[in-house]
Amino acid sequence: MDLSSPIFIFGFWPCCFLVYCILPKRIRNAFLILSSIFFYAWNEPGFVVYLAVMWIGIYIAGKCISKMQIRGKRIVLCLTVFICIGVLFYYKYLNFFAANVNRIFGRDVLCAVDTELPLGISFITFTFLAYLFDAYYGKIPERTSLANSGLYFFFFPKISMGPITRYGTMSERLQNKAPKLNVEEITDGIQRFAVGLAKKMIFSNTFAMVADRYWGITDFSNLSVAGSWLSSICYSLQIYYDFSGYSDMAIGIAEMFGFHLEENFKYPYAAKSIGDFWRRWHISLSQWFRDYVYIPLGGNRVTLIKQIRNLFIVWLLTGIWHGANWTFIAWGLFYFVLQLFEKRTELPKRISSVWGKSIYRLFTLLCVNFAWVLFRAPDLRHAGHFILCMFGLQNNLLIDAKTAIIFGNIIIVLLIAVLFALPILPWISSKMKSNSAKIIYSIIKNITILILFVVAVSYCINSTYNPFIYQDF
Amino acid sequence: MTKKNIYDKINIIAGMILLILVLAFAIYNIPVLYSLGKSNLVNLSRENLQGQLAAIDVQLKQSVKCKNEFTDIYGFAQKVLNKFIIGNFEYLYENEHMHRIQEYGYGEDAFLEEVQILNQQMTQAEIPFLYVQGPNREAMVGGEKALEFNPDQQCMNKMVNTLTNNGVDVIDTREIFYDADYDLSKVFLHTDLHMQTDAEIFVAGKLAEYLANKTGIQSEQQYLLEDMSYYEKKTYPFFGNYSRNVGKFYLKEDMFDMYYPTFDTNFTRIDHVTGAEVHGSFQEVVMNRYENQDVIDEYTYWVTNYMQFMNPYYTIINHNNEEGAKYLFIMDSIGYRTVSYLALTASEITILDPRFFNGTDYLSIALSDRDYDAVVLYQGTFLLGNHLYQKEEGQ
Repeated sequence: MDLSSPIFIFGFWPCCFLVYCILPKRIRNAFLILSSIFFYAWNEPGFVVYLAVMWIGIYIAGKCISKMQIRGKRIVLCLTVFICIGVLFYYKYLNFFAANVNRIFGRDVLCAVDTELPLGISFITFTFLAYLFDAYYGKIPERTSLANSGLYFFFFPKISMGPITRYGTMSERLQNKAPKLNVEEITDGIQRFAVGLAKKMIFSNTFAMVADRYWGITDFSNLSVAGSWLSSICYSLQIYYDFSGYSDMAIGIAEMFGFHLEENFKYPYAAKSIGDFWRRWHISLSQWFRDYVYIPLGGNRVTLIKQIRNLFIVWLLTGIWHGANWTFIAWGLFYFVLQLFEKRTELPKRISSVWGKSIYRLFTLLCVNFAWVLFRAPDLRHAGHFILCMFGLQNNLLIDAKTAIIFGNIIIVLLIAVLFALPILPWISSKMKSNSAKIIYSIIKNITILILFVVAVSYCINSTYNPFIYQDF
Repeated sequence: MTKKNIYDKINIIAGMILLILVLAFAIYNIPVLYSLGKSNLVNLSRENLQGQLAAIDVQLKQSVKCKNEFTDIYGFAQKVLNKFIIGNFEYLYENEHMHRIQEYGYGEDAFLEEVQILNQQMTQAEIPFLYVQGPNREAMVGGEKALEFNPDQQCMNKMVNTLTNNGVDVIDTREIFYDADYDLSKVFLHTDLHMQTDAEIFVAGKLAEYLANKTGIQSEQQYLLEDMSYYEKKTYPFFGNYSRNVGKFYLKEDMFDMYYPTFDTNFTRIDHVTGAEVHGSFQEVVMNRYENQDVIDEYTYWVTNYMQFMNPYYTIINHNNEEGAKYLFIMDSIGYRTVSYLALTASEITILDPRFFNGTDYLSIALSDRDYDAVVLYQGTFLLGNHLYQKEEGQ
């Protein structure tokens, strides 16, 4: 059951919302905890016990950290961080580590374990760690109860794919023992959910099918230049609409229950530079690494060598966070190189002409596009071949008939998706000066959202193909 | 009240409408959810808990209320977005027909070999063997896009050429339609892979002629395949398999014709797997009387109103033509209506469907059980992944 599945849209969520509205205010938060545990158990029944144990353990550790002296704080912090990362390592990285050790030694030094990646383990682990670090920095209110921490960790809209929320973001609402229903929050929330669902079902899934088709080609001489570019652009759009769509759904549902989660995307493909891109893409993750890794290491207030070291560590960890594969590490280090380049040259700031800025934006988009190739590839070899195909260096055609047909099939969706990946709507909204213009805009916007929701639901019911990329993390 | 409040109120009203719609639809589906919960949640097993819970979502998609209406909306959206590739590269729309996308070959070499073995076997038994190649949708009613995404035409050419070169008697129905200057737009159903009934009866007529020449057994009932005045025609709206996930707004439904004999018919069907026998008229034995069902709509799959879907081995006996020829047809659903009407001109037709052999060597059993005047293998491309000769594991 994910946020775009019919069982969620017509079963779990309406039921949860109706019961929440009917219940006495004092037990609404408790109900949300139970609902969230039920939601997670539906998807990952075997992992619920671990989560429950970690919840209690992290809460107790947080209390201890808050109350202890500096030495005790550090010991408890290190211990619990070690446990959290240890569990993440076991489920996500152990087999990758073992395979590489065995390759180095040329024999089976370490055995692989038979495990499946629990849903949202990376997001959950980082939420736990954020809580622990915030406790260490004194940012967790003393009055935080076990129940409040549980709702913070497991709140169902964000548990599997974020945003990676700080306790502070949710604390005011959590501390509210008698939360009221707010009509504006409910209506804004459901409209946000509808937009997110449309992004995911209508746009992301369309591009997913195209991208996956080309990524399935193993004979690279059959992958034309046009096909490889079409595939990489489709994947860039797929991952954006997939993840931002999910974030919209999560933020929308959370808002209906009175929680205002962090924004996770701000039109990243309108970025002026690589640095700007990462202030717009998966914002909660980049801020997590900034606040809990980069800044504690000294950030950019240290020597040049240490700045480079800090940047390297952040991007290495960012890559590793995304998955147990050399491609993710390469992807992270690719951004390390680009960010280092921008910091050292300050090129984005130095370009003043409109043409120069436009070219640099295009350069940024191209870099991001190539980075997604690394991100998507099953291994580095495949990524290398794919990139060579993009430049016609694999004895491949410039364009093949199937690619021309596929492009013709998705051209309208592609144009709409590219347009709305840019901040067109905020720009239009800002141009509405008169109130009558705002009213007309509002009517058109709301009717469009309603239509998009109905169409998105029709996609939900009809489509057999509904991947969620970031769910694998 | 300022105008800015109106602007905000519009947002609130719109949001409430959306919320009410979602909640109302959820409440409308309570019986469906209850039924799914009752049937699935009580039988949860620890070993496959996750899989069972995931299956509930799949079942809900299939049984949600207003599914057909949502399918129509989905199809309409595809039309607006000018999408002609449907699903995850499943179907392609071209020239007012839906076509199946098949990006990989069939690995037909093993099947080709088995056909030649069968031919040799029949030659030794002095029984005429005929390979009938079904027509190709993409070449006949499709276009460049359909041909690009489907290898059936090349595959069929290979089948016909290889078998002909190896001494197998071949009828290519594509040539039959081209030679007769048949209106190609009337060969196939628009929304389903199968042919229209008129086209299938046309093929039946040509086959009957050819088989009569081959076996030397002329049929006095040949006219029944040429003159439709001997039948009562009924037409039903029909939405075939190729369009069931795009609905009516994407592609208009077909009109499925059925021809019911107005003359006396007397048939028996023997199911060789269960041993059951059914006696009666053409409608009662050869057809399955879907028209008598409680619910008839455009989703009624009229194709299987003929013959016995999923039955691997059965015989249709025509008691009104006991001097006629006896045929063995190895086929899939491509021959359901063709062979049904052919049965009116024959004495007996035994049907084998390799898709449902499930490891039992029904071909050898059928060849040893009964006598035949001719053996026919009739297929498009859907049998190419099946074995005619089933072997036990290890053989």
